[in-house]
Amino acid sequence: MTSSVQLVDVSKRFPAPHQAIALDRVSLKVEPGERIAIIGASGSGKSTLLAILGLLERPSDGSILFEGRNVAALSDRSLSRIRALRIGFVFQAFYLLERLTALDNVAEALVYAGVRRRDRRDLAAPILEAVGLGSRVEHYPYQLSGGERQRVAIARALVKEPKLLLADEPTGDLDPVTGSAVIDLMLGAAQKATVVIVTHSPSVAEKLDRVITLDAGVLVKDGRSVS
Amino acid sequence: MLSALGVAVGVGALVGVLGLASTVQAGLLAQLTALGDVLTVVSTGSGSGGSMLMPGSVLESVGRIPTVQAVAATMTLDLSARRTELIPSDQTGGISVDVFTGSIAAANDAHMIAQVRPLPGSSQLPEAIVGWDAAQTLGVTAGLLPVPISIGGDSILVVGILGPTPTESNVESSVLIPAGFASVALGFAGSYDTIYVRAPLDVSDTVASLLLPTVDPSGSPGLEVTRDSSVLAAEADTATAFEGLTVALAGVGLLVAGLGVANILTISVIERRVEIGVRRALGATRASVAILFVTEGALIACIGGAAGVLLGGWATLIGAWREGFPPSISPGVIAGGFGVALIVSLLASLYPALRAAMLAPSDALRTMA
Repeated sequence: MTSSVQLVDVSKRFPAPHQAIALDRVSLKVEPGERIAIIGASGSGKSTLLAILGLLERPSDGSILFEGRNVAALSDRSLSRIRALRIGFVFQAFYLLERLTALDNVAEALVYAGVRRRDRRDLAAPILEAVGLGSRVEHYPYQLSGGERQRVAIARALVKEPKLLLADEPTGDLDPVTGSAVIDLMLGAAQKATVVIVTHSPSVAEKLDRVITLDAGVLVKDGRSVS
Repeated sequence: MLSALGVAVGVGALVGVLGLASTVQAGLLAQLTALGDVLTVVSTGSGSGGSMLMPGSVLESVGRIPTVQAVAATMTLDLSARRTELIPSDQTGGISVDVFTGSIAAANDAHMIAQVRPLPGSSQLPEAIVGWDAAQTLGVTAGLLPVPISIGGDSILVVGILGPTPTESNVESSVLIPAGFASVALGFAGSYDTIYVRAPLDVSDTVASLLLPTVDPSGSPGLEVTRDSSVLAAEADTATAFEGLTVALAGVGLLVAGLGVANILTISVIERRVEIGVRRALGATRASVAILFVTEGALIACIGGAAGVLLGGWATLIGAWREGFPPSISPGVIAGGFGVALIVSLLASLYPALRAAMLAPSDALRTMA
């Protein structure tokens, strides 16, 4: 079963003294298996929307339904549990743990999923192989190229077989060719997952089925991708 | 590691202070039980008609008190002792000239560390033995014996050196002339101002209660009994008297070390914002993030505590060697050192751990965007 996330009149305001509105009464529903791009100018609220979809942020107003459950009623522990088992993240800056090898970075994602220590590496190795880094498992992040590091990050997000994969500008630090390869890899590897990608790149948006456009925190367009 | 060093110094001071205090106390108490007790009957000079002197004949009576092991007596003369007559007579060097009789060494729990020949109190030869401090002041060493010194203008041959006493008795700074010679050559009348009695520690109370009635059945004022055991017990108490103060100082040191640990861990939280955010995104709960930093605090505690116990142990060993006692550190002090390190470090890690746990994951990740 894949996930659905529904936002109902969700708003997010930054705390005082700024009080800036990051999202303004956004309503949308993410259906299971969808491939969605979120686009918009810098500061339009894309990353905030992604954080709310991934249960990293609670809204200031409105409600979130995750698999039909109202998130507001869930404790932080419950939200953490959902992220551990059902949600994978990929970030623009990769955010690998520098003191761990590629294999251990991927295995680290299974710590909070309750997988035993001796099983984590066994589960991580094939995922790294699948993203083409079978020969890099013992390399540290500083020994990998940008594209390789992003592939480790993708492997880390996918190792727990998430139902929802969220990527925030995953190709932002990569050249266009590498970035395109990374997107294809991500979409190919996450076949059963719902994928939401925040991007500035039209070429990335074209690869996805649905494009949500934000402007100053307001959802201004939500439609099928023109590809 | 530097924060662990701070904890180590604090714990080391604590363990060292407690270890040294217990070492000195144990050593002094061991002396008490091993060497017996020396009781001193002293003329206080408060009797009617001036000082109350004790006739030599009472020594036999004192010696008959059950369990008494040795008896001796001294009388201080108004004479000065000098290495040679070239030294002005008013430069006494703190040395007294005393007439002695009886077993002067045994009665003071001391030993003759050097002697050409035994010198009994009955000897009428112009010879003397010197106490430990007096020997050093006069420049008399074992290798020089027998060596002449000047007493009241007369030449006296030093034939022995009396070793140190457990409580630095007056005999240590005395030149001791046998009563036999003193009575023949110096007009000594045969009365003494101090009697030394050695008895086992466990019966010294009884002996003390019998001494004055034996020495002076009339019960006149002017005589006082003191005991080495009281002095040593007081010294043992003194060894621990400042324990509280130094423990308090060590506690201040540990507080400073704890603040250092808290500071380092707080900086670590700030520097690891991304890691915290990533872990939260991976599904870490607030509690597991907090445990991460508390664990680091515990690691600092283990390293600092172990190093501190070693430091304190070394300090105790060095102090024990200097004092001449066997080292004594109780397992409780070692466990306490570890315990204090753990408590300090865990308390210090609470604020940073809480701060890390309350960090919003999106804020942490947004920082790096």
